[in-house]
Amino acid sequence: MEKKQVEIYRSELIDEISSSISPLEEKKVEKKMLIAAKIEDAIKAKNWKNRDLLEALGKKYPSIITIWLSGTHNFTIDTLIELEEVLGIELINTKEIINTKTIQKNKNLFFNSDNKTKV
Amino acid sequence: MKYRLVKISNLSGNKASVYSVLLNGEQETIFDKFVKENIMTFEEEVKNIIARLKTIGKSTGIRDSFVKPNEGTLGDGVCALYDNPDKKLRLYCIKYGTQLILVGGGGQKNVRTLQEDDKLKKENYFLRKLSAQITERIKDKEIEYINNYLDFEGDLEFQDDDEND
Repeated sequence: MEKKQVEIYRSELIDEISSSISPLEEKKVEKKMLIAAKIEDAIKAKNWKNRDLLEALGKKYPSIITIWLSGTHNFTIDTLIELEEVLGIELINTKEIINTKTIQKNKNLFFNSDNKTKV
Repeated sequence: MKYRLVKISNLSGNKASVYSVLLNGEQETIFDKFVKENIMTFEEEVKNIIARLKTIGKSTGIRDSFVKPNEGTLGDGVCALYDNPDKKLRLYCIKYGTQLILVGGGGQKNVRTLQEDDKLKKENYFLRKLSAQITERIKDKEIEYINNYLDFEGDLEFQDDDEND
């Protein structure tokens, strides 16, 4: 049988719904998943299992780790700091130097390009 | 019933490909149908699912921790994308490594086991069957991974009573 490439399908419905998802909402989803991925990679880099993280943090219930790594969790700053400390990673960047270039460089998800009208 | 695998271009990216199933004679995939069935009642959840799939395709790939595993038979890769306790929807998928996910259908989960819900059972069992068919074809080299495990190529058309050649 001749090898066939998969058919490419563009969903108009997904396009329509995607256009109604604000850039800010997309960013929130992406960041939560990236944070979860970073935490998971750090656990593996330390040759830990999830229970090792649980123990290091003095937490009781393993399900909290599952929730953290699911990419859907809305972390508190306290929890992020605790994770930074036990895993030796940075999840919150406070060292970024703030100037007008930084503000312009980072995409503003609240406002349109005129910097006045909200998206 | 005949059907084929398709790659959803507006969800796929260089971290993962998102596939679904197109039934012969239909214009929408089974994932499109899931979206249509649930967008009115669960708008925010559906949007969130689409945003997550886009992130999987473009940024993170598929991690085991992003899905709820073991939603099918042992080792068949059938999983559920969404399983926060406070979420109402369940979307069934088949995960192939970290770079290929096949999204199917699903629905509202408000029962203890999926077998108690005809809709969820139908969607889940369809993916179990499809997973078995794909696995068989991979074993027989009728389907192979290409593009560094981002894609399938080969015989990607199936039917309900499909048997090995």
